[in-house]
Amino acid sequence: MPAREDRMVVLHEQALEAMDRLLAKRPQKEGHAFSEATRCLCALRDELIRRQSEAGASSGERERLERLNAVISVLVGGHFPLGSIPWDEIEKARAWIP
Amino acid sequence: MGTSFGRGAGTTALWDLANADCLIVMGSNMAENHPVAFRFLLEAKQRGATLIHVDPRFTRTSALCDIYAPIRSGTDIAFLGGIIRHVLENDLWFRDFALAYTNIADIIEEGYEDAEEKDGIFSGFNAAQANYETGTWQYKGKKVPSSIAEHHAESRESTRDSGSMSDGPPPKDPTLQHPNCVYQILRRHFARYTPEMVERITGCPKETFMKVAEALARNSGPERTGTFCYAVGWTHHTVGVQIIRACSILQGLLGNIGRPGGGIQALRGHSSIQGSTDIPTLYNMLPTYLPQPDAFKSHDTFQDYLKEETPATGWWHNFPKYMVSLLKAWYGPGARPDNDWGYDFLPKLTGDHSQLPMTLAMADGVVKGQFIFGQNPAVGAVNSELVEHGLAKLDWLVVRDFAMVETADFWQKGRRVQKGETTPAQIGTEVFFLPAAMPGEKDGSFTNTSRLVQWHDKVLEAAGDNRSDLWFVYHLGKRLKQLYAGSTARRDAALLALTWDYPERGERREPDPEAVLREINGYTVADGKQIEKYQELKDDGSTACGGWMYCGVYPKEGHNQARSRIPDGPDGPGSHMNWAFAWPSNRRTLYNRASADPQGRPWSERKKMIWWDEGQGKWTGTDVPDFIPTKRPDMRPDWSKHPKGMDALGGDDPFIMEADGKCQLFVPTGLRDGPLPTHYEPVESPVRNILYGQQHNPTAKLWPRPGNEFNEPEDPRFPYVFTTFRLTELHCGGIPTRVAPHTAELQPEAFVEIPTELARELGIRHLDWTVLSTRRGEIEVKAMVTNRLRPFVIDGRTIYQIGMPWVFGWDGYARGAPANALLSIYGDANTSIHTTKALTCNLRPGRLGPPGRMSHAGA
Repeated sequence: MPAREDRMVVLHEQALEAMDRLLAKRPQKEGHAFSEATRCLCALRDELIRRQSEAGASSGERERLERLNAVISVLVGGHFPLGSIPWDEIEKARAWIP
Repeated sequence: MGTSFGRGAGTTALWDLANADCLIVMGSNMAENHPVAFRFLLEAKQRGATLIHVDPRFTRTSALCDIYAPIRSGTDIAFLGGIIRHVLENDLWFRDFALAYTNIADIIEEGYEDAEEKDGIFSGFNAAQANYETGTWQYKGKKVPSSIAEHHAESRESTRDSGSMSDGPPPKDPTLQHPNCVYQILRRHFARYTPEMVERITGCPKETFMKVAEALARNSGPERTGTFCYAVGWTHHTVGVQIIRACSILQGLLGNIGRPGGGIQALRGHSSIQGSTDIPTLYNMLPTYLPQPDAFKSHDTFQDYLKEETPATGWWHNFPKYMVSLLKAWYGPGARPDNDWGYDFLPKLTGDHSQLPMTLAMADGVVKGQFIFGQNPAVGAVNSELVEHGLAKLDWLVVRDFAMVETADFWQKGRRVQKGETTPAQIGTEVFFLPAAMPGEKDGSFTNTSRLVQWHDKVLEAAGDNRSDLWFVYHLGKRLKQLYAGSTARRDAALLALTWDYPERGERREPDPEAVLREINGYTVADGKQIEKYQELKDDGSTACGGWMYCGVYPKEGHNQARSRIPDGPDGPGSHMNWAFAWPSNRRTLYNRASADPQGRPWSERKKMIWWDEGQGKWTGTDVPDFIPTKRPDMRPDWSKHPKGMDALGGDDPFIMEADGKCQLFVPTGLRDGPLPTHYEPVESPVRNILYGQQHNPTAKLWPRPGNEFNEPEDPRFPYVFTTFRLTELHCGGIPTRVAPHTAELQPEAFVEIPTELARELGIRHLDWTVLSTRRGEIEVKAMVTNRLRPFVIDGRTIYQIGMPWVFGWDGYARGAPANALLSIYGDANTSIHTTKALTCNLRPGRLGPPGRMSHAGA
């Protein structure tokens, strides 16, 4: 596997694991697990953007980036919620990580 | 004020302050920060009014007032609650006004439990989520939708009106004997706010407190009125909204709303802060207070959104007309019935995207780029080092200003660089610093404190490449539309559908700002004819309007009412109807139906404003009536018909933006932290809460993390109360005046004000170096030893308060440490506004050693 693809796989794994830790913990008042998951997802997003900038984006990759951005939006909304933390939506977002 | 009265804005014209018999300035140093408005207080004083200043510091405002009442920062609710108790227990309230125009007689659900019964927590509290469910706060058997006002979208709780408000009036007990009527709840709630308790909490001597309470009560009633003026000294707390609520209760009880010289003035800190709320730069509102759709509410389709947000009763029942007209203004032909008027183009909220949480999100790498217009967060935002940390995570940053500001050179001169925590080479943010035109170099409007939209004309051409913000945004939009032209991707549809066709003028292709104002005012789609009033707006796509409350500002082609400058003469009515435009409807005093009694007669000759003219069959007077002009005072809803909208409000219901037309002394819906204000200590406090085991607002938005730690209550390492403030000589974030030699020399460097007694205790002399510290950081600054700040005796303990202007940074001629490096990021429960007025710190004589010593500190 090329090194670049390798890095994507690692970042993808880290993002899933961070989301799983967040969902297992479901913190109400401290944001560390949210921050950690956010940072992992953003690292994955940034790598995806970097690859697309260098090589051009296929429609599949573009869609992958859109889904990732949507997941990050939901996660940020959970970290800084209006009212209750939308855990159900965060759970759904976990399944959406491309 | 939005939840209490229906609109989140100052209720009177500034010149109406001169008509007051008592004026209380609290949470503001008005003489120094709002000097133009303050002249109306001095005019009132010349006419015999009593002026009162309640503040932790003795300032120029205090010096010009009749009574100065010192209070410890963050204890305003205890002080105001004490006045409420005084008014209720001594039967000093304006009974005819409050019984008719407030919800004082309404009966609340039996399950309601007060904070007094639950050690500082109201019923409905979810401790795990730190929020409230408001079912027990409702009128008995009703579900009351809140008024659509500022920060309406801050809650996820459904405000859908089941229609119960159309079924009949809320149950009331006009005898006020029912244990769950609002009057009895208020009495129980404030029973412990005695003068002695006020003194123990606030540090204000009870004799001084009583002078204030008696002066206000004495100057309220049919013949007399009083007004409060506040600024960010009230809003910059975790209980900021509830401080204003306490004032609103008081003014409702005393009949000081909607009447000459009676009201609440929300003094805005910048020239057009009111305007940037009306046509908002806020994340959670569309223009003129329409709620931003939310991805997690029942807002999936436009019909869902309207169903969720449109109340059955009151003026806001017209909401769909304003929303469709807005979408027509924005998307033109792209807003059609078959695509829900372009509703899907609008971005949906997923959470709190206001400045504080977004600063934290920046530090987490969420945000890729940022535009900064007219702001300087590296100095002006709390926890400024964490702000720098976030800025350093961006890919790109665009700063537009007319002089170099700290936010644009943080990568080179910022505190983190100076401390050696990072280097310019390690910061990857690409910064674009673009020259901006100054106010006199562009046409446009300001909307001031009293909702007054005033047009100003360009005086001279901006030099070189300096351009107006309008020019920049307009041409950026044009280039983006060109860049995405031809795209069929759904994500690009909103940008492409946006109407973006303002006429351009001159070689610089400056867009015509009056064209923007005409669009905000609104027009009929078929012929482009200007609309004269918002009553003409429709929900069928035939009208377009960028901000319904501004309808009338440009009512006819060639008639910019905001440009009008004709004052009343000495013998005129004094409402100055031809001086600019005040929203809504060029109305100067909001809720002015309340200036007449329930039968429509002025409460007194001395305080008359609006009254019912039986002969003409309409409301008349010296202002534009805030009411249906022909609605008789004796009109009553026909409940058998389940009336909607204004048909559900009677001729004696002045607060038409509320679902029941009443001033909400008790708020059933719309607040995240309780239906009544109650005293909590600030998050950082040197003392325990005397009233409750609950120390601070349990619903405050707290975001602790490394670099954003909070000082624990009574932490002996941080024994002093710390507050920040502005200076007359240096404007806001400071740069416009710190780069100008003639203003910079008036306040040449940063300082901290220290009470003489504390300075003596610590061995600090005037102009000595001192070090201030919190868990966020340390700064060094010179001492201003002064008697303007006095020690407080809080429940038997001496507590010192110190204060520092927050307007300094490392750029310009007048430099100094940014006070905001000491502050932390947490927010008011309702608005997410930061706390700058009440926290704790340590103070010692001496200096920081390198590398903590900043180059801006001087020798």
